[in-house]
This record gives sequence, structure tokens and C-alpha cells, in this order.
Amino acid sequence: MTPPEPRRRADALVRADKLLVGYTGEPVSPPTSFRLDAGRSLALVGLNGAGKTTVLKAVLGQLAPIGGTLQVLGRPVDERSVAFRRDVASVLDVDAQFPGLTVREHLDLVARGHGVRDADDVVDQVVADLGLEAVAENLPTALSSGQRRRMLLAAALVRPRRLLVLDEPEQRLDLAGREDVVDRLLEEKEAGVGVLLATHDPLLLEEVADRVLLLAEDGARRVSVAEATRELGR
Amino acid sequence: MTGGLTPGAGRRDAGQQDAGQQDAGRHGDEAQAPAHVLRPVAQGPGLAARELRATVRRASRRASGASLGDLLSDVYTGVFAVALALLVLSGSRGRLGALGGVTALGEPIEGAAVPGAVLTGAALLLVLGGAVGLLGRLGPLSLPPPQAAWWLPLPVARASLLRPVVVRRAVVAAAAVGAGALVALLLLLPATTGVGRLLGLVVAVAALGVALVAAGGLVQAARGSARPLVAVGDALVLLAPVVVVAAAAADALAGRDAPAPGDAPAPSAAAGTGAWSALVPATVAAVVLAALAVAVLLRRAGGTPSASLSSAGALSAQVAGSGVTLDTRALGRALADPPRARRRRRARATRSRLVRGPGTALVLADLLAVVRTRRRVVTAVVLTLVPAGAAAAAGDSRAVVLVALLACGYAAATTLAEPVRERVLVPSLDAVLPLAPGTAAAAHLAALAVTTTAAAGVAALALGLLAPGAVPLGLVLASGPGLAAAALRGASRPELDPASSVITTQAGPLPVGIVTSLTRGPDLAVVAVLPLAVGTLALAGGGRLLPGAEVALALVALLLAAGLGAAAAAGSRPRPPEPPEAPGAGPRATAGARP
Repeated sequence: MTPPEPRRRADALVRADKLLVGYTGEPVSPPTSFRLDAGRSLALVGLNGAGKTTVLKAVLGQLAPIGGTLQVLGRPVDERSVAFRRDVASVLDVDAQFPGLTVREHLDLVARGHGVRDADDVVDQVVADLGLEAVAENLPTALSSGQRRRMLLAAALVRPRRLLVLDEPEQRLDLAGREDVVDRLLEEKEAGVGVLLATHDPLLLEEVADRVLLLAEDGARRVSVAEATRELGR
Repeated sequence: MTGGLTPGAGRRDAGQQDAGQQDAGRHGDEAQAPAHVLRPVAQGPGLAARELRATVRRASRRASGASLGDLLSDVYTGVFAVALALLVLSGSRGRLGALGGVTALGEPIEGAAVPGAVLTGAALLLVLGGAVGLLGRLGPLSLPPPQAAWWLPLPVARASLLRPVVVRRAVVAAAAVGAGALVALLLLLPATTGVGRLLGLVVAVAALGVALVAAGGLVQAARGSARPLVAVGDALVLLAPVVVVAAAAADALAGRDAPAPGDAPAPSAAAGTGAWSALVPATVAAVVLAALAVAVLLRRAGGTPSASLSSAGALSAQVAGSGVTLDTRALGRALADPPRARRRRRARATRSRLVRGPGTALVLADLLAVVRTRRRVVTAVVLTLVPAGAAAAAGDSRAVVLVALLACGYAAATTLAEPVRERVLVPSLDAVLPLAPGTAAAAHLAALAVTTTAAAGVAALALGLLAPGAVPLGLVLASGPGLAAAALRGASRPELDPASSVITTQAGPLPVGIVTSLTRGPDLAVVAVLPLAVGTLALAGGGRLLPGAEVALALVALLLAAGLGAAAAAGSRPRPPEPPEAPGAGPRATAGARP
């Protein structure tokens, strides 16, 4: 294990200043500035194509920013660093599983991969919390898309984390599943985890988001939860 | 709130108490977390890369149920197939190089000659460029989607995670380039060439391929993309026919009354021996270079960004899938370069003025889709130069030129028809325009006819330069629209259905449905080049085709193309959805409903 890294408590988990993101040099959204602290949550909202996922990819180091500055955990983003991967958990819209591994084996792989103590117990607990007991021994091909989504969410919860990045976690979930996600994210905040999410779900906004950043063509701006909910309702 | 977390909290508390000073320092906020919140705590660095691979391998093997017998059977089949192919090839040693002595269709063609060494070099360039370009497009470093999704976020050292990938890529590069080079050399080098020299050349070229691929991996690790390797591969592929054409052009410009290849003085034995003696140090140097490049890549592969590994892995899976389903069009789409955004914006501003209505919009869209994908253009250009190269290489054989024109012409047309295939796959794209389905199909055919005729023009030009008497050049040009119709028919063929009907024959099961599907397109191509074949036969018989006869045959070719095009366009229209069957409606009910 690497030696502990000194960290000032006042450091933001994520700090973006005039962040410009896009593909092949073409920005997809105007410059964006935001900050996310431990135990808080920031929701990105906006129309399709506004750049929400692209911003999340930049935070996760999957896409280099075109301009501005971006720091995660007090450093420029480098997902190749082991420390970064140890502290940042994410759930993106990636639907790829090992065809020969059951749900439980997938989660066990993640927990053990992170060196989690009592990995079996932790996996059992998260499987129960996310309503996956009935399909825990199933292969991914036997899961519905909603169950696969729950499995991805579970994978982010069976491992240590300081920052949780979620891209539309409500996708393909029924109402009960969305309420489970809300509960879990509130607990994450209570435990000091920073939650950065992109969402179209008013429930998540109202229950989870401390701050909301609206990405629009004319610029990114902070809005109230009520205003963001109105925007989503349009 | 989810109440079921309390048991987990107990474990968490215990974990936190037992966690070492490191965890306490790293997760300083955890101490303030409410007691009921589950927080998994790391007690160590986690699984090593080797343990990860072993875990997944064990579980996958358990799930697949494959036995040792299955594995041995697969190995036996593979080894047997390779041995059989080598035996067949060993009987054809030097056969292609000797094609110049075969007169398949009438009198010898008057044209340029290409030295055997140039042909061999061009073939090796083709093999090297093709393999390197393909591996560059597939990464060269990549992880399949499940590994990318589940392994890359883990705090495991990426270099050790990628070590088997690097080794596998090196082996694949060596095998692909080596096998291709072996086949080319067996066919092109004189049968008297020693086995040692043959294997030396193969090893040298394979090692060069490994070195290039490893260099591409280093670029990918540093920049996240191995585009330079793709560019090198494409350049080598493009260079191959250019070298042949240039050598033939040089020969043609030097004078057609130069001594025939058979009369030319043989190169001195000393020169030949000198060239071969350089082979040993060159091979050793290539192998050392490859080993060094792989060693450096093993150390630096850990710097490869996860996004690069994921996207390359997804592309590799797509390519593998299209290979399994024999869908060459999907393969072409997967390997096509993505369009470049900056140029697109400029092009839209300048060319949109050409649009006069929905029909021209479709034509222009198809043309731009071709022009903006470099790989399609490079592939089409290379294919159009092959018949001229074949004419120069095969010397006297008009049959070889004709077959090359048919095969390469259809292949080039298929490459240029990829945008049309996309429209066929997604009919709603055409449906947004106020056009009848027949008119939309005609617009696609028109765009395709423009590009294939241009390709045919390039082929005719190259043939005119190198072997003007080989085939009637006007008919080569006139075959372009017909090949467009064939490509349109091929583009609209349905996906292969493995469950289609199978006929049992004495030679084994014949999947009729698959064969019928695969010949949809090439069948029209054969018909489209019939006027060209007739003209070539006439040339072979009389030595000269009257201008009137060539014009008449060209008109026939164009009329044929119009008919074939109408048929292909009708076949490419989207089919209306079938009405749902009434519950319980069997064959009798259907028959009874007939008026």
C-alpha cells in the first residue's frame, strides 16, 4: 500500500475553473466552473448533448479537458495513478460484463480488487440493499437491463471511495430502484463522500443535490433545485 | 432510508478499528461517518493483476463447461489446418512469379514488365502495411469491454495488467506478418530459393512488423492514440501498388522495344549473393530491434489511458463479431476512420450550396461520406491500381487482368458503398426527406455510380499506361455504373442467418441461405463486366477491337447497368413490416384466406 498522502481538510474533492470539454478539439459546452466538497453533492443538469457526461468523463480522466483547469482530490486528473482509482468510484453508462461471471462474482472481484476487508460480507450486504439477492448467482445474460444497472451501482458501493461520480444513475430503474439510489446517495453524503452526478430525475435533484449546475448553450450557471426541476419539466 | 445497513455498519466499525494508520489517514472523514453507514475499508493493495486474471479465467472456465478434450480438439483442428495450407502452398512455390509465362487468353499483352524483386518487395509492403495498419486501428493495445469496464477502475498496476496484452500483440503481429510474408514469398520467389533464405526473409519482415506495432503501442501509451502507426500502415499499403506501377511506368518510358524478360541478361551471381548475404545481419538487426521495442513497451504500457484501451477493445470486439458473422461490410464500417470534425464544418459551409433538393442532398451526403473517410479512399485507390499491377506482373495473361478487374472493381465499389449500406440499415435517415423510397434508392445509386466510375477511370488510366493492349479501356470505364448497381445490391443484402436452410451434399452440408446471401452483389458484378469480357476476348482473338464495336459494347454495358441498377434499387427499398399473424392461424387458414 502506498504511504498516506497529506491532504488539507479544506481541499475540494473536485475543483473546475473555466473547464472546457469536448471531442477532437471541439467544445460541447461553454466553460464551466464548480467545486465539490466532501459530504456534499453536485448535480449537473441540462438538455441532451449539453455536455454533462463529457464533464463527468473529464473528471474521471477519460477525456482530457480542452481548456481551463480541473483538479480532483487536489491534483490534476490522472486516472492512471493507482491513488486516483482507489479514491474515485464511478457508474457510467457502460453495459459490459464478463459473460462467465455471476453477479456476486463481479462484485466480489471489485471488492477483492480493492483489498476490501471481509469482502464476502460487504458484497452480501450491498446485494441485499440493492435487491439483487434473487439474481446474485445469475450470469449477466439472465439479467434485465435494470438489474444490470443495479449491479453497476452495487459495484461502486462494495469498494472504498471518497468521490462517487454517477452518470444518470436513474437510468432503466423502476421507482423503487430510484428510491434505493436516493437512500444510498444520502448515506454516501453522510459518510463524507462527495457525490457528483448528472441526472434528469427530479427525485434525485430534490432529495440528493446540494447544488445544481445547469449546462446550457449560453453558459453554465448555478440554479436552485426548484429551477432545475422546472427546466427538467420543460 | 434503507434499514438493512445496520449489520454492515457493525462490520464497518470493526474494519475501521482494525484498519491501519494508512487508512485512517487517507479516509480522515470516515471517522465522522454515522454508525449506520456501510463503508468498505481496504486492508491492503487488493488483488494483483495475475490474481485478477486467474480469478476471471477460473470462473469463466467453470461457466463455459469446456473440457480438456474440447481444447485439444480445437488445437488439433488449428494445427491441421495450418499444416494443410502450408502443404498446398509448398506445391505452388514460385507459381505466381511464373504467371508471365502463361498465355491464358490469346496473344501476349504488349506492355511494361516489372522485375520480380520489385513485385516481391511490393507484396511484402502490402503484407506489412496491411497487418500494421489493422493492428494500429485495433489499438494496438486494448482490453475487451468486460475487462476494460471491471479491471481498469481497480487500483492494480496497469503495466502488469497489460503485460499479457503486450506479449499477445507482439505474437499476433509476428504471426500475421510472418504468415502473410510466407505466403507471398512462396508464391513469388523462384522455386529454387533456399529454405534458409525464405525463412530469413519471413523472420526479418515479421520482426519489422513487431517493432512497428510495439512502436505504435509506445505512441498509444504516450498520446492515447496510435494514429501514426495507422498512417504508416496505410502509407505502406498505398506504396505497394505505386511501386509496381512506377517500376512498370519506368520500364514503359524506357522503351517498349527493350528486351523481353526472358531475353534479359540474368543479374550477376555476385550481385545476387551480395543481396542475400545482407539478409543475415538485416534479420538479426530486425529481431533485436523488435525485442528492444517490446521490452520498452512492457515497461511503459502502464501509461496507456483507460479510454484508449476501452475504445480499442470495443472496436476489436466489433471487428471480431463481424468476422464471426462473415459481415465484411460491418468490418469495413468498424475499421473506417472517424470523420474529422474541423474539416466537416468547413466543408458544410462550402458545399451545401450544391444541394438543390432532397435528391441532390442524398447524393451529396453519400459522396461526402466517402470523401471524408480516408481509409475508404485509400482502399479504393489501391484496389483500382491492382489490375494494372496484375497486368504488369502477369505479363501475358488477359484472364488475370480480367479477373483482377472484376474482383478489385467489385471490392472497390463495395468499399465506396459503405455509406449506402448505412442508409439501408437505417431507413429512417432517408425517410426524413420528402422522397419516395424508389427515388432515394436511385439517388444512392447515382452517387455510387459517380464514385465507382471514377474508380474505373483510375483503373483504366493505369492500365492504359502499363498495358494498353490488355483490355478495351473504354469498356473498363463503362463497367463502372454496372459495378455500382452490383455494390448497391450487395449493400442491401440482409444479415446472414446461420439458421437458414442447409442441403446435405456428398461433400458435406451446404448452407444454401448463407451462400445465396453472400453471392448477392457479386452475381450482378459478373453480369456487369460481361461486355468487358466480350471485348477482351475479341482483343485476344483479333488483336484489335474496332472503335465502333467498342462503342457498341460500351452502350450495351451502360444499358445493362441501367437495368441492373433499377433491379438493385428496387431490391434496396425498405420492406414493409409483415402483418402479425392471427392467433391460431396455421397453413390451412392462410390457404383458405386466398381469394
